[in-house]
Formats: sequence, structure tokens, C-alpha cells
Amino acid sequence: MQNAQQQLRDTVRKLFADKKIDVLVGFEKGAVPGRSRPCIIRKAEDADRLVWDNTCSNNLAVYLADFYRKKPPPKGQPPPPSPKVGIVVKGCDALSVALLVRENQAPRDCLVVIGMPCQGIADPATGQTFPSCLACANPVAEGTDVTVPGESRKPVPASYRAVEEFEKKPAAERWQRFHDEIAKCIRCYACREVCPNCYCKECFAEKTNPRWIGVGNDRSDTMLYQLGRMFHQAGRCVGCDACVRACPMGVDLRTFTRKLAKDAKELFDFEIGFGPETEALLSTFKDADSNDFITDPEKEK
Amino acid sequence: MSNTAQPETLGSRPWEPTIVAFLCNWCSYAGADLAGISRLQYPPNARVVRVPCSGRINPLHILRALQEGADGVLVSGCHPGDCHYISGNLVARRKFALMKRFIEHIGVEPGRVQFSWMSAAEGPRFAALIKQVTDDVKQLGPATRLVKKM
Repeated sequence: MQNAQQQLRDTVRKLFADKKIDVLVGFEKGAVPGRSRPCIIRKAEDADRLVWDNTCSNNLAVYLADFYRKKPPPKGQPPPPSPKVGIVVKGCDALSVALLVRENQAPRDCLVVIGMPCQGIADPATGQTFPSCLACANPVAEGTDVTVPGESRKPVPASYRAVEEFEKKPAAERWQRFHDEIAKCIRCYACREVCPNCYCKECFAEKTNPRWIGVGNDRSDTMLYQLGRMFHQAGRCVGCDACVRACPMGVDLRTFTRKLAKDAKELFDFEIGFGPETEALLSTFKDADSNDFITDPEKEK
Repeated sequence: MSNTAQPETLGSRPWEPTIVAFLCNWCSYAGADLAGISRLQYPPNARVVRVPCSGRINPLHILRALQEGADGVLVSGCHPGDCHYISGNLVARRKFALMKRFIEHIGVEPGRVQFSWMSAAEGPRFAALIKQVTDDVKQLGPATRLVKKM
């Protein structure tokens, strides 16, 4: 990994020297042990601040959309050119970058994606690699412009075993589990803030007309927020777990988010991918999509 | 609409479910109209909300209805292929399929939220649908999950 870090610094220095990038999103040494801090650098000299190891947990794609948010230019002036942004990515982050490009939140030709070798992220509390990283299906970043050589974790085929086991439980038990997870949530919206997919300027959670989510601390409002957010991630969640790591209360709704991914695979043969050919799950359809869930009063029960 | 009344608070009258029915303007709503014009008898439990297309339905509409005290939610649109907007109900179908499985996965009883296709010519079928959904929700009893308490 030391080697990868040195190569990353050299690569970035060269990219700045060649004027390929105006700004780079990467990691620097954090103030807390076991955690690196995202940093944005604009000069080649700063490349030596960059860090790459198993503490680089954040999904850096979260900063991308902000670079390309269109502001109206001052009157009579042409719009400023889009900045060329370099971004340091793991496999999961590369999925997010690809998704943002597909959803027109970042122009691909302005990005320089630097793929890093990833061995999984270490839990700052224990130093052990996260179990979800051990089961990662996409540890190798694809569709990158520069790839820093190094050994990545071997991909594990996507498995929904935990979801399948949860599905077998009775409804009351499932509800209890959902209820208990939601009961921990203080609605600080940290999960939304660290999620690259949550780039909306105005979130449904804060809308006042219509006010989807009440401002009180009723549990059903928290449930609606979490359900709404999960559903907005249907077919978009890359499974980077940034939301789980960011949560100060330890809310873990992965059993439910994974359910949406599992159903998308089962019902529509949909899997999120690195390429531009991945379609948007909920804005496309096929004539042959399943009708099985439909209530038909003429059908014998 | 904060109908959190439990059966015993209604005195001697038996509890009746409240069902929010989102009907698309072009087929299902007209189907309900036909059922009415034809003077068909069906349970009065459904509260109809007319929407331009079943594609208009946001999962939050359904969740919000349950939160505000609906015991059941029915969403009905044109038959696939008959959408006034060509593909509104086909896009909606994916959302609904995921939504139905998802809401049952978190532990809301199957049958609380139902989806259907109904044409403007199917008055008797509409009456049968409302009867079936009402019976299903009656069997489940009053909704308790996702209901706002404050």
C-alpha cells in the first residue's frame, strides 16, 4: 500500500503538471487514528499530503456533483468553463462516479478517475476489515482513466443470503427489527450527506410543500424518511456503506437496502455496473415485466 | 383522517376499514364511475383520490396514507398497453412491484397495500375489486404499523 500511495502522489503531480486536472479529490492524514480525511487539493506541491491505505473509507464521489452545479453566470458573461476534476476511487466509489455520470451530474470528459487498489476498509474501532468489504463484489475499479497498480481484493459473487434469511422470519419479527433500527435514528441526515447519490438540491425530507416528513420526533416520520431514502436508492445504491459508517447512532438498514437490490435482480435482472450502458432501473421498463403482484378480483384466490 | 380508532371505541358499531384508493383519471376512475352509474353495490370503505396516471404515484403517497391512518391502500391504473400516456403505467409497474415486496419485507402485512389494473369498461369488475380489497383489509384489522401517534 505504501507503494500505491507513492505512485498516487507521483500520478497526481504529473496530472497537475500536464494541466490534465484543476483540482483533485483525495485523502489526507486524519486527526483521528484509523481514519483518513477527504481533502481537495489544487496545486501539484500538495500532492505529498495524499494518503492511501485501508483507512480511506469515505466515498469521495459525494463531492463531485458540487463541482458541476450550474450557477447562472453574471449578466453578459459567458458561463465559466467546467473544472477538470481528478478523483481517487476504490471499486465502490468508481460505481458511484459512473452513476453520477449516467445521471448527468458530472460530465465524464471533465473527470480524471484514478483507480486505486483496494484491500477493504478497516473498522477504526477494531482495526479489522469490515465484513461487507470482505464480501465485496466490485473491489476493482473499472472504467478509470489512470489505474495505480497494486493488488486488490478478489471479487466475491454478490450474495443475498442475509436478506433471504431475514425474509423467512415472520412479519411481526421483521417489523420489530425495522422498528428497533429506526428507533436509534436521530434524523441527523448524516447518511444522506455522505451519500453520492443524494445530490438533490432540496431533499424530500426538508420540503415544506408538500411536507412529506413531519418535523416532530414521531417514529413514523423517521420511518417515512428512511423508507423514502431507501426507495430513492432503488437500483442506484452501490453498496459502499458510507451511510452505515457515517451514522453516529449505529443504524444499519442494509437488510432492507439489499432487499431492493435483490428484488431488482430477481424481477428485472438488474445489476448496477460501471459502464454507461447500465440503464436506470425505475425509469425504464419492459413489456414483459412481472404482473404477478397485481390484485385481480376475477382470479380465484 | 387520523382514524386510529380501535374497534371498542366505536361503541356497538363494528369497525370498518378506511381504504385510500388512488385511481387513474383515464381508466380506473372511469371504471368507478361506471360502477356508480350502473348502480352496482359495493362497500363504501374506499376513499377515492383521482390521479392523472398511476405513474404519478410516489411510494411516499402510499406510505403517507398509511401514516395518516388508512387501513389499506389501493392503487389502480389502466391495463398495461392501454395507458393514456402510452407508458405511464409500465414505468409505474416496476415501482409498484418493488414497493409491494419492500413494504412486506419491512413487516407491513401483505394485503394492506394492493395494486390493480382496471379499464373504464369494467364497472362490475371494479365493484368486485373494492369488495375484495375491503374484505382483505377487514381480515387484517386496523392498521397499527407506520401509523402516526402524535
